[in-house]
Amino acid sequence: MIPILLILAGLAAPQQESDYYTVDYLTPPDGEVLEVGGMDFLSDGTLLVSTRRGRVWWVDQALAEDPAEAKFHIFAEGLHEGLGLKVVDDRIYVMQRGELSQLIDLDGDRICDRIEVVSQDWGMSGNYHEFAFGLPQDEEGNFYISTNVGFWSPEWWHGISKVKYRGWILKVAPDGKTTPFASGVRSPAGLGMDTEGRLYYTDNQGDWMPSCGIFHVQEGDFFGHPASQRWTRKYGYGKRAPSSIEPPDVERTPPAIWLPYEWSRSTGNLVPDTSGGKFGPFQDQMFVAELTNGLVLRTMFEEVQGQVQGAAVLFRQKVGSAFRVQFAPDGTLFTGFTNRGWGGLGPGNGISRMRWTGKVPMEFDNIHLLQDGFELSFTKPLETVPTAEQVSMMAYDYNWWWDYGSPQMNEHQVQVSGVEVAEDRMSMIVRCEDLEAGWAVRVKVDGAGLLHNEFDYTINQLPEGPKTTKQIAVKVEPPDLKAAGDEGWLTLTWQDPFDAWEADGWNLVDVALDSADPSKFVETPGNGALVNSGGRAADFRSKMEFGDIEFRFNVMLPKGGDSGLFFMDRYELQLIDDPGGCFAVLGGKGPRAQTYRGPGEWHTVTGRFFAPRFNNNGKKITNAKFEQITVDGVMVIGATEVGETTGGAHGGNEAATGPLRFQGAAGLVALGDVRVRLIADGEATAEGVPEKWLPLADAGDSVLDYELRGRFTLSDAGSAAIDLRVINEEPILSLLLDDTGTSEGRTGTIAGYAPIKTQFLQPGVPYQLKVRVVNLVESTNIMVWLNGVLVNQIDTNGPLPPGNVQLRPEIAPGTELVAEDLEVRFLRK
Amino acid sequence: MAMFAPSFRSPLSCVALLLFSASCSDQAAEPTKTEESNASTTSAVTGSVTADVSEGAKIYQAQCALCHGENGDGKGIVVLDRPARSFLEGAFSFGNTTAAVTRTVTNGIGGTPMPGFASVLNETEIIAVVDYVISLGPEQDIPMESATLLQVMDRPVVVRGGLGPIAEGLPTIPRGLLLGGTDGLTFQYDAETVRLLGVRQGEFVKRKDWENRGGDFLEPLGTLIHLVDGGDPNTMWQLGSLLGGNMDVKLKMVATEVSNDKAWLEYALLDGNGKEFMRMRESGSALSMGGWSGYRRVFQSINRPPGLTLTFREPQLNGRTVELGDSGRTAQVFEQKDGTAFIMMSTMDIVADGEANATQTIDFLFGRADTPETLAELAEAVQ
Repeated sequence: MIPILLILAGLAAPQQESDYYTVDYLTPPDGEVLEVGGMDFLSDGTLLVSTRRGRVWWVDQALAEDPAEAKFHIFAEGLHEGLGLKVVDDRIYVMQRGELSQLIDLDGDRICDRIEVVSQDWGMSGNYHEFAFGLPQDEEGNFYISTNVGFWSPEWWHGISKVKYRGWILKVAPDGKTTPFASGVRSPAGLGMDTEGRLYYTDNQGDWMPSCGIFHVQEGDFFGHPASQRWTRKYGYGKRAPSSIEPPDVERTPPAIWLPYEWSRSTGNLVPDTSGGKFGPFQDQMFVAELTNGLVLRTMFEEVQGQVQGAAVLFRQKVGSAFRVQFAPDGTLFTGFTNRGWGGLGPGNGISRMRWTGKVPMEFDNIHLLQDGFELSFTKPLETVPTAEQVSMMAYDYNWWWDYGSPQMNEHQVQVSGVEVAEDRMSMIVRCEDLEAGWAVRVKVDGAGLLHNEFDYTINQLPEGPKTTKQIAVKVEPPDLKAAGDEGWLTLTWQDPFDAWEADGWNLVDVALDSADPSKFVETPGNGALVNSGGRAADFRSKMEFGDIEFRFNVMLPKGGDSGLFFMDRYELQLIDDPGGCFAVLGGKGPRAQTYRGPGEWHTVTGRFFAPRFNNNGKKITNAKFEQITVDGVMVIGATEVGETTGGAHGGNEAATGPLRFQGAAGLVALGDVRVRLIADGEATAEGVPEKWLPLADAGDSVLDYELRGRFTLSDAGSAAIDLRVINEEPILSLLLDDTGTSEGRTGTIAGYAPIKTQFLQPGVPYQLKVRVVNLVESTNIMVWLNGVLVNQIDTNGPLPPGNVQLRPEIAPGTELVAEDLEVRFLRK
Repeated sequence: MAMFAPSFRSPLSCVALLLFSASCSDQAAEPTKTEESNASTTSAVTGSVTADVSEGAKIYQAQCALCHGENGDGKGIVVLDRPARSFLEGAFSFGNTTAAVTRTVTNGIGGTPMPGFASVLNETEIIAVVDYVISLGPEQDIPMESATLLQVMDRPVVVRGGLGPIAEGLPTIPRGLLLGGTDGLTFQYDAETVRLLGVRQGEFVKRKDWENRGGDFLEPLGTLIHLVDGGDPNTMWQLGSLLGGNMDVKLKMVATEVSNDKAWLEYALLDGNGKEFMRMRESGSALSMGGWSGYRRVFQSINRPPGLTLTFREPQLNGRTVELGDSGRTAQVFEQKDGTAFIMMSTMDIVADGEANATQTIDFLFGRADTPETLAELAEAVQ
């Protein structure tokens, strides 16, 4: 019997976390929802839990073997949240949104009778996001609390500190005196203290916070978010507000650990293992609550060149939306859940208990940074020894800016040159080439049988040598402001994407690569892409012509896809399923960085194109030119000229303007969202000698041939018109300004004539409009320019008599039309 | 609208037939072959299609799936500079409430690949797709309206929270305080300046901050029976000055307490240098006397320095002093525009501790003061 058991033991199932740490759940009273904000224990083992609902629950027998035996009753009610709770010598302190309080039971009936104010000394504006968190205490009896910044519409991604000391960590002395301790925090949802008395806080990804992080806090530190600086001398102690967009010019303390976004997206608090061995082999290390992914992480800190930094690893997953962790006297790790308003892996409320089974897992025990690698120690001797090839190391950093978080940037492999395993197999040194400070590294160790084989180490400094000033969160140029970027653009394929184009054989569909044959698309009904999948597709060619433009479009190619974007019908930006050739300018330069990610991937391409220039004799004096072509934000061509026209070019001799043309006959391609913005002012010359521009109000009431121009902004779903000819108070010729999509035609349409079906303009964004009305022999000719581009030209049936011009600013009720700099000039009165 | 088989052209005719045969519902529910099947439900009676979720799903597939994945797992075919959010855990950048997700879909997230759709989708479409993406996540424990209702039962309740303006044109009270008594009265304070703003009668409060992401203002439910000095009173206490005139005393909240079946507010009185020179506890309760009704406030001094002249600030209204019959008591009568008046009567009881811990009551009663009879009733009752 026994030999068979031994064989079976050798064929053990792959290890899992629950083999080493079990999780069970307390059962709150029927119908009660515990959204945990704080937890701590009285000396007799009673658990006290504060919640987001302003209650403090008293839990007897929370440590009983059967979790169902825990008995709950409400100890206190009516608090203003309670995102931190601390027991000090059996005195109960709760961190409310507006008050740090002591809760006192005067008559011993286990119901709170008296709530004493320790401090209320920080500002509250009433913004819902102004949370306050706590609640570690140092040896001198000082509490540490943190305050969230506020968020307001419409630019709700900018955190603002409207009132005193929001965005700060504050120190509250035993007598209640509250002083600012550190600043630059955003959403400091968790605080903790290690066994050496070092204070930490966790912050959450958002503006000025590329990822979640764990920060070691010392007095006077600044952690990056500018809003808090309002309450410093530089800003008059509150008189002025700092910029939300410019990087603050203050010395910035990096976090001890940047948490990989895939591991932690809403970090709660952290707590050291003080169980004296009852919770496994990780004494003194810290455990971190993670709400969104519903797990607990483990951290290993060390001091390097006087700075705290270290590694994070996954520890126990699939627990619940963990916001708070706290050790019980018996070495159980309690986890408190809440996810209301944010979402996270369930359960989204309640309490769980995590206990060590007594079995030691195969894990990293500790991680030390070396000048040229890492020294890894393990909880048990390695059974299998990894080779250098089985260790991979990828370094990355982040952008530090007002953008909501940052992806991992500048990812690159760090070459592992060798591994040295100690004789007792309890530790291993990984040597690598070119390890640099100012980078985070993700290290994966295969072939060692580890339960969690990845760690992420934040290399703020290397152990020796001069300290680096490179931060892992790198100051970069702020991203374009959303609003400022939009003025002047025309969207050429919105709503009716074909109206402004010749598009034989092109379809409007949703596409994906055909998994069976990646040289083909699978089309489904939708409006995500313009595809030349009709039989014998011709080119996608704009009806309008352009000179110097900024352009933007999305493109996706199948395997073997082949197309190109021709400017002015002649100069080609190549679009081809080939990493080296895609986005090259034919006759000019190729892309200097490979940004083409392969078939089936959408890319956003932007750039500037300048038409060739000719002198009065028609001789070319400047070549056509491309500048700043970027693909997905990465610049691939800085500047290139094109001398001769290239193969596939149409249009005969070079000229000053031409259409945009996407090749449709060479191969399959999918396009989306084509936009242009004129670079030079497309002021077409008028016939005759025009008089100068006058304000519209001075135009008088008998107008025949004229031009009118102005800067207009039309509200969302708004509808207005310019009546170009009014006779006897009857408008007989009207230019529509329309964002409803339900009237005769979109902005630029002349009522009663062929409607414009493309939505060229975004509501709420100003645009330049010009219209010219001229009587010819047989008709009145009207031309309409939007943002400098001629979008409409019609002739009436017979010339119109003179009349008035008027603005009709509100056709659809609720329309807001802003008309600025309205001017008229007469070509003939 | 679902397409009926040709012989059922109008919902009315379908209803009529429904009375007589079951076959109508079968045919009404079954779309013709030319229509695409979708996930919506079709009403058997009217044949109308409840398309909300399916409309949201269609918009999602058209606008969102490229980045966020067909099933919302964040793994769309478009590669971005960071992973698109997965909706399956119900986690969103700025919260998973309808308002927050609507804002994100409308405006985008500054600088990230998430664009705004305000110019692409109309309001109805945005609502539909927002409902859809939230529905991709797990069920949430949103408290029912009724669960947020906090009532005072057999023990007074003290509630801290944000409060909206007590009257139009007044500021919000981010640090608010409600003391709820078992007699149905709620005393509403600004905790930062320790001022009673108003007194309410009725139900207690709705904990609106149990909804959304928290931080919403509480909703006191009682009817306002007294708006103290228009809802924006001065500080309550004044010190008599040797130079004549009175000095406002700044107050600082110390504690709230429930004891002796009362809810108490305790605060420190600060001198001109911000130093505490004594404390006060106060509590309020309902009162009716001689046809008048209102409330009584009890003030207990704690460690009051000897010889201190501390006066309670009177309302900013024109008042007259009246003698209450033979009772030896006087009252201040303040006329209000609507013909009612309120009366302030104060007493000073010296308790055994001596003046240091004196108790003073001030009664506020409401009624009609325009006829001598009503005041006489009060004089009777006071005796």
